[in-house]
Amino acid sequence: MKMDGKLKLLVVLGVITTILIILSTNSYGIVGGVVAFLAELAFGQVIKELFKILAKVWMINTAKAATIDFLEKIYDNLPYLLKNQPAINEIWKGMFFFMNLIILFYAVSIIGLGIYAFVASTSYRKRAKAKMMISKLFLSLVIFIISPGILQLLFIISEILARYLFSLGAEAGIGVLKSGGESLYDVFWKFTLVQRTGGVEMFALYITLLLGILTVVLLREAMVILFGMLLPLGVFLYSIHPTEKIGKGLIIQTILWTFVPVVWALALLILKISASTISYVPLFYVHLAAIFFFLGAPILILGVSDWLSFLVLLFEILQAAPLSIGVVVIDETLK
Amino acid sequence: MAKNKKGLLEIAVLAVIFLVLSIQAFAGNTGFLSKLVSNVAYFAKRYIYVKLAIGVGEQGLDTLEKYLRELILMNPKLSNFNTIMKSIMIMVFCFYTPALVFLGFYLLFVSTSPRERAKAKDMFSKLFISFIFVSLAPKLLHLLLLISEELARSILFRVDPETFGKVLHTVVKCDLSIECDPRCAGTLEFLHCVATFTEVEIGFYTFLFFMILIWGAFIFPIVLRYFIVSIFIALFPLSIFLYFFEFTKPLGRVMLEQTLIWIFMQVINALLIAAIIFSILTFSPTFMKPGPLPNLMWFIGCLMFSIVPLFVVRFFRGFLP
Amino acid sequence: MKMDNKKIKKLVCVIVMVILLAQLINSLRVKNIFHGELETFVPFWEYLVLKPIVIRFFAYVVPLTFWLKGDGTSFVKNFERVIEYNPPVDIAKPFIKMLLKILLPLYSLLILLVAFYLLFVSASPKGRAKAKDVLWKLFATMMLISLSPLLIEVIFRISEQLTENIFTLVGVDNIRDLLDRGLWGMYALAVWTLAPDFELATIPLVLLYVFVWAPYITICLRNILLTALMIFFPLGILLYFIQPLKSIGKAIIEQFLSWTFLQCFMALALVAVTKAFLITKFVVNPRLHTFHWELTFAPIGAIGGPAGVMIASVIAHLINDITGFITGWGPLSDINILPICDSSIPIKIVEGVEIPIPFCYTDLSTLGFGIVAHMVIVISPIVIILIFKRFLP
Repeated sequence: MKMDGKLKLLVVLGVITTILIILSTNSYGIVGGVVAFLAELAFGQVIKELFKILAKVWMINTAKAATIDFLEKIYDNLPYLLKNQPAINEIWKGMFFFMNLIILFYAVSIIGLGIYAFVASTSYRKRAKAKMMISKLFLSLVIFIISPGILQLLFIISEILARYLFSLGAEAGIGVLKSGGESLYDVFWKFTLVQRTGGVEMFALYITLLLGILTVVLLREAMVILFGMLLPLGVFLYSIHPTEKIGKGLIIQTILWTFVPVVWALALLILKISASTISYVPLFYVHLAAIFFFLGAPILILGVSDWLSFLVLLFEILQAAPLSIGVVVIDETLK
Repeated sequence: MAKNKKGLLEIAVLAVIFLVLSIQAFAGNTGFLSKLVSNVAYFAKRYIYVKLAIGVGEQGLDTLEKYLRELILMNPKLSNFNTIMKSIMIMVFCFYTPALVFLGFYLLFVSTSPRERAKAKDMFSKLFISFIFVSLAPKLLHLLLLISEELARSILFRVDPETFGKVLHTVVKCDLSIECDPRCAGTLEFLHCVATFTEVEIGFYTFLFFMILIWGAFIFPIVLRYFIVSIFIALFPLSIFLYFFEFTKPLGRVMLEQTLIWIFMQVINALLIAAIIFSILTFSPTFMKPGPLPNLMWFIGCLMFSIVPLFVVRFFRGFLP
Repeated sequence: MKMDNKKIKKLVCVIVMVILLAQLINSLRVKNIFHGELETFVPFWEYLVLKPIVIRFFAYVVPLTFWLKGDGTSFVKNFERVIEYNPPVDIAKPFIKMLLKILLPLYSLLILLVAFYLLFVSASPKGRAKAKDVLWKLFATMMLISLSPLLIEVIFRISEQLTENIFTLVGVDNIRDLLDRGLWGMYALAVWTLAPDFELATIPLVLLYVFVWAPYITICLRNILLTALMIFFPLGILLYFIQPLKSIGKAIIEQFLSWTFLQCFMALALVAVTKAFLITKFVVNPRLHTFHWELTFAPIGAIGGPAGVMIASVIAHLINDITGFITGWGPLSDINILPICDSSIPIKIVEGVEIPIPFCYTDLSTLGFGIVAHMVIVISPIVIILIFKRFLP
C-alpha cells in the first residue's frame, strides 16, 4: 500500500511536471505541443541557421567574384608587365618636349660662361673654373642629346635581365603569392560562415594587399615614364654645380625605376626556391610573408625613395582597426 | 498488483484527458524553451568562432615552442642559389671591361687635376680588389653565414629556448578545454573568448595579439629574414662590384649593409631570446600580472621577438665606409 | 466482467487516441511551416533581398551615386584649373610695402656708410673689395625686394604656362577620363562589396573618399603654403644676402620655388600615369560590371529554376532602369558616367527568349591606373621635398 501511495505520488508529480513543461512550449495539447516544439526546433532554428549560412555563402561568393577574383588577375599580368618596359616612342615624345625647353638653357649657359671666361672674369682661378664648367657643359650636352638612346639601352638591359630571370623559373614564384592570398581567403570564408562579421578584417587585409600589389606595379609603369621624360632635365641639372644633387637624384631615380622589374623578377625566383626549401615553418606563414617580401623587395634593395614606404604605411593606416569600429557603429545604427 | 495497475491506468488516462482539455484553454506564443534554443544557437556559434579564431591564430605555436632553436639557426642553403649566383657573377664580370674603359676615358679626358687623376688610379686598384672579392663571393658568403650561425648557436647554448616557448604558451594558451573558463584568466585565449562573446568586432582586437605574437614571430624575424637573406645571397657579387665602383658606391653600400644586417639578424634574434629569458627569470611569475590579463612582462617579451628585428634594421645604417 | 473491463479499456484507449490524433492534426494545421512565428523565411528575405537590395541599395548606393555624380567628381571636372591656380600676388603687396618702409631708411644709411668708408676710411685693397661687395649686395637686395611682386608674378606665370603645356602632352580630356574612371571603378568595387555586407566595403569606400578629398587637401595645402611663402619671399631675399643668415633666406626661397613648381610636377605625374594607361596593354583585363546580376540573384535562380532566373533578370532590368532614372547612369540616360556604358549582354531565359541587360563596367587596368593617378597627386609634394632640396648656391 505504501509503495502504491509513493508510486501514485510519483505519478502525480510526474504528470504535474509534464503539464508544466508542455504549458511552456505551446498551447495546443500534449502531442501538439511536443510536435510544435519539435517543429520549432527542426524547422525554426535549424532552417533559420541554414538560410543564414546561405546568405553568408552569397556574401562570400559576391566578395570573391566581385573583388578578389577581379583583383587577383594582376598575377596573370605580372609576367608581361615585368618582362616588358613601356613603349619607348611615347616616352620620347615627352623627352623631346623637355629637350626643346632645356636646349635654350644650354645655349644661354654656354654663351654666358663663354663671355664670363673670356671677357668678364678678373682672376685666373675663376677663368679656369669657367673653362672647366664649359667643358662639363659640352660633355653633358652630348649625353643630353643621346639621352633617349641611353633610356632605350637601359630598357633593353632591364628587359633582357627580367626575361632571363623568368627563364630560370620566376613565374613559379607567382604561385607562392597566389597561395598567400588563398590562405587569407580561407580564413575569411571560414570566419564568415560562422559569424557574418567575423571575417571582415581578413578580407580588408587581403584586399589591401591586392590593391597594394596592383598599385605598386602600375605606379612603377608611371614612374618609369615620368623619370624617363625627366632624364634630359636630370642630365642638364647634373652639369650645373648648384643643382648637381638634384640632377643626380633624377638620374638615379630613372635608373632605379627602370630596374625595379628585375628586382621583382629576382624576388619571384627567390620565392620559388626558398618557399620549397624552408623547413619547420607552416606554409600559411611562408605564403603570407611572400606577399610582404614582394612588395618590400624594391625598397629593400634599391632604397627606392622613402615615399614608397610612406605608401605602404598609408595602406596600413587605412585598414587599421579604428576605422572598422566606425563601420560597425554605422551598420548597427542603420540596422 | 493488478488492481493497483488498473487504478494507475485509470488515473493516467484521466490525467491525460484533463491535461488535453486544460491546455486547450491556453493561447500563447513560443515559450522560454524556444528562446533558450535560439540563445543556445547564438552562444554555440560564438564559441565555434572563438575556437576557429584561436585555431587560426595559434597556427604553428607548437612548432615555435619545440623548434625555436632550429628556426633561429635556419639559413638558406647556398647550393640552392648556385645557378642564379653564377649568372650574376658572369654578368658582373662582363661589367668590368666597360668599367675599366670608362675609368680610362675618365683618367685621360675628363680629369683635369692631379687629385682627380690620383682618384681615378685609386679606382683602378679598387676595381681589381673587387674582382678578387667577386670571384670569392660564394666562399665569403659561406663564411658570413657560418659566423652568424655559430654566434647565434653559442648564445642560444647558454639559454634554453624552450623556456621562451613555454612563456609564449603560458601567455597565449589555456590548457583547459573551454577557453572562457575563469581558470583560464591570464591568457590571450581567455581574453579573446571574453571579448568575442561581448562583441565579435572587439574579439578581432584580441585576435590582433595572436597575429602580432605568433604570426609576427614567424613572418618577420624568421620567414622574411630567410627570403631577404636569400635574395642578398643571390645579389652578393653585384653588391661587392657596386660598392667598389666609385660611381655606384652609395647603392653598393646600401646593398652590402643590408646583406650584413639581415645575415646577422640571426645573432640579434638569439640575443633577444636570451635577453627575454634572462629578464623573465629574474622576476617572479606574478610580477606585472594585473588581474585577468596575461603577465605583461612575458607578453611584452614575446612581442619584442616579433617587432624588434624591424627596428634593428633601421637602427644599423651607414656603418660601412 | 473481464470482457467488459477489456472493452472499456479498449474504448477508453480509442477515445484517448482519437483525442490525441485530433490534437496532432490540429497542431499540424496550425503550425504552418511558413507561418511568421517560425521565422524561417525571415533570414532569407532579410539577408538576400531586403538588406542588400532595398536597404543597402537605397540607403547607401543611391546617395553615394548622387554624391559622386555631383560633388564627388568635382576635382575630376576641374582638376586642370585647380592645379594651375596660383594665389594672387596682391596679397603680398601690403607686406612688401611695410618691409620697404622699414628697410628704405636703413639701407640708405648703410649705403651712405659704406660709400663713406670706401671714399675716406679704407686703407687696404681687401677692405675696399669687401666694401664693394657689400655695396652691390645692398643695391641688389633693394632692387629685388622692390621688384619682388613682379618677380613672384613672373615665376607664377612661368609655372602656370609650363603646367598648361605639360597637360597638352596627352590632352586634358584623357587625364579627366582616367581620373573619372578611377573613381567610378572604385565605386563599382565599393558597391559590390557593400551589397552583401556593409563592412566588407570599408577599404574601397575609404579609398573612394580619400581620392575625392585628398587631391583638394594637397592643393589647398600648397596654396596656403605658397601664400605664406609669398609673404616671406622678400624677407628671404633680404636674408639671403646677409651672410650669417644666408641659410634661412636660402631655405625660404627654395621652398617658395619648390612649392610653386609643384604644379608642374603634378601635371607631369598625371601625364605620365595617363601615358602609362594608354600604352600599357594587359594580357588579362577582367571587367567588373556595376550590376552583376549573376552574383546577386544566383540564389533566386538556383532556387526558383527557370522561373527564378526570369524573375531575377526582370528585377535586374527593373533596378537598372530605376537607378538609371534616379541617377542618370542607366540605360535611360544620355550621360555615360561609367566607362563603356553602352554594352549589353543578352541573358537567355529559355530557348529562343533573351533579354538584353545593359551594363556598365570597369576593368582592372582602368581601376589600377585610376588609383595611381589619384595617388600621384597626393604624393607629389613628398617627392618634391625629397628630390628638390638645397639647389641654390
